[in-house]
Amino acid sequence: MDFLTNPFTTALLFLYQFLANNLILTIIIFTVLTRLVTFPLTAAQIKSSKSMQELQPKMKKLQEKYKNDREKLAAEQMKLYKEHGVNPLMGCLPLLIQFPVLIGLYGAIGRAVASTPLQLLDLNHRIIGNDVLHLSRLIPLGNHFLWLNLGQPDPLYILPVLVVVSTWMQSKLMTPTPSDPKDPSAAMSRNMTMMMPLMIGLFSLQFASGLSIYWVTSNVTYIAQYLLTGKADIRNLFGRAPASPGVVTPEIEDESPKKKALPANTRETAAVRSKKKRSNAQPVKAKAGKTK
Amino acid sequence: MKRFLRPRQLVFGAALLLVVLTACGTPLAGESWAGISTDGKYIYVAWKDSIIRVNPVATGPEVRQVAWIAKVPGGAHAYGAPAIGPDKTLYVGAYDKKVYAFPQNTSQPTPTVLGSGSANPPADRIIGGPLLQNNVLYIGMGDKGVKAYNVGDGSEKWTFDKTGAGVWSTPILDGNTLYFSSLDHFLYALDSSSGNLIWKSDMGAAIAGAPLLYNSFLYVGTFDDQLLKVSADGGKIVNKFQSQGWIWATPIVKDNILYVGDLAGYVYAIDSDSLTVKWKTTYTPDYTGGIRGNAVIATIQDPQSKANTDIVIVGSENKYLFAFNRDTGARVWVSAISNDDQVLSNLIVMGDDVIFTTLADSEIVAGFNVNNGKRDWYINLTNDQTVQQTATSVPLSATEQAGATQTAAQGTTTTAATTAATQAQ
Repeated sequence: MDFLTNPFTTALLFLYQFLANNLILTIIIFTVLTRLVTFPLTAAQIKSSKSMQELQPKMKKLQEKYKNDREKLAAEQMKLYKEHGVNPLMGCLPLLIQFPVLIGLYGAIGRAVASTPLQLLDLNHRIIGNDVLHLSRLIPLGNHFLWLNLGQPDPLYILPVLVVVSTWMQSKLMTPTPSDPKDPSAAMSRNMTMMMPLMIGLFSLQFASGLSIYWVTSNVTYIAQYLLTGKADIRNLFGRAPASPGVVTPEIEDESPKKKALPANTRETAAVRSKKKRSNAQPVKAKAGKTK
Repeated sequence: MKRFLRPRQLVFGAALLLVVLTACGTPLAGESWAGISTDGKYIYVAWKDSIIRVNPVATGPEVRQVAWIAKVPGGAHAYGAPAIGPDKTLYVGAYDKKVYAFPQNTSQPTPTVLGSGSANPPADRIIGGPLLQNNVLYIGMGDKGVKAYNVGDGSEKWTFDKTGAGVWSTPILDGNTLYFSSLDHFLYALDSSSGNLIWKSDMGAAIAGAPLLYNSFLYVGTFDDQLLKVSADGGKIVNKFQSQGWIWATPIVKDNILYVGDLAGYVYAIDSDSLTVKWKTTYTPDYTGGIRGNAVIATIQDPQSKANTDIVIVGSENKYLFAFNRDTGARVWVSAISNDDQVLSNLIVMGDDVIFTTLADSEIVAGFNVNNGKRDWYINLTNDQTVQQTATSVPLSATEQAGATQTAAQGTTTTAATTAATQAQ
């Protein structure tokens, strides 16, 4: 991954000299700049994911309707995507494109704060164009700030806590509260929202604190970008979802002409209906008719 | 179920992110290379949590063993070249911010901590090796400054903390003046008895290696690809030599010629007066790799003319040892390190062997024949530690301790090259 890390290391050093030789400021500015440059990709990803999210009720219906015909299901799903102008790949493609940036930046910060002889020796090989730029004159980077040595983990554990909190906030914003808390997949989703920040927090106990600063800045910037797109709902943070994704709403167009929207007081979640179907193996239409 | 990302995607994404970042984005796992020093009879190595003594004299074909081993308390790591006391006590600084004294008169020594009652203990890891002169230990601090300890009672003598960055090199002493370099770009001269600043001089870039003091001038390499000649009495830069890469090593000198390698992989012979190049090794794509450690000079016999010839030996990052004719720079031999590991430590010549450390436990110390570059012996620390668990390491005898001062003196006055190698990290 040197082809990624080395240019980022060089860019980080280059920026450092214009920011009063302040490494924390450099890491923050560099991370924000990188997030800004990749914002179109982030926005595309958020938009695509949101669109996919909005199509979920319809997708559920299709899955129920064509559960025994996978080919037909696939064709109908593609048709649905096409009708709504959604490309399912757009959800992960921007993320994949951003991944090299993330790796390069992350690696660069870790290497630029070289705090041991082997790390400093390694840094020597990562500066591009040193003959012209003379960036090696900037070494060692000022890696002390308040109680922090950016090349070593935070001894007061403040940054790991911030890493956990910011990662949790990002995860919560991205994951709307499920309508049915008993849904096993919802439980798993909740666990992941808790476990992922804790895992990353655990890693940050070992990482150089400069990397934790990157992580926190990156999370905060992402959250800000997400809020700016207008797609985020701050209530997700407190577990109050505005809509019940599993509910079949009256606005959703039904594929079947015989099927009508259910009255509000008799609505069933998709999970409940699916369970009923599994128990008596009756067609959806018949079941819907009975309910009616 | 409305969801931004599905649980499986989240699990997979989180795992992938952590794996990729851990593999690609984290700093190097390693900390440093093993520090090596000698008293002329034994080799002393500081490597991770072990301080070991190796007898380089063969007890059988290729058989050398760790004769004695001590562990740094708490498993702390130490890499600076150990300083050897008159009674053969070993002094090392460790990554746990402590300076330890290890007596060798017992098989399982309990080290003492120097300056343990100090109101101003080290605030950061200690990376460089110490210098012991006249019962005072001088050692650089990883974050800033230098400390001096009275080894007699272990008390702190003085602290100089006016550097802007860490001191990773071993200080050198001339009379009452202590010279040392710092990563903060400055070269310092202190009064060794008080720790007061005599002068400091900006070298323009970070300095990680110790300076060489020769004919009233200090010679020091920088991370701005320069070898500088600095007056020892005032710190004025009187001449510069532009190299191809960073210079981390301390130059060695013989017959008024300096020998030093750089991290671009070149070795130079430079006139110490004018700093003009006498010879420079050519770039060889097959053998790229920086020269981190100090060079050494050894004398070999030419197989044809039977005349004695001096060679300059260097170890490189690219896992090779090189020997060059000291007069012409022509390559005499090149030798691959058998376990394919880097040679970053300083080199030491003892008898027919050039001795160095690698980064691998399986060949932590090795002796290569200076005549042909072939490996004579090596220490497999993994095996030896296993041996040490069942057989007690051998403490120094009273006779050896009594003769230590004399041996140490002999060991450090063989050649200028050896002196540089034994003193600097």
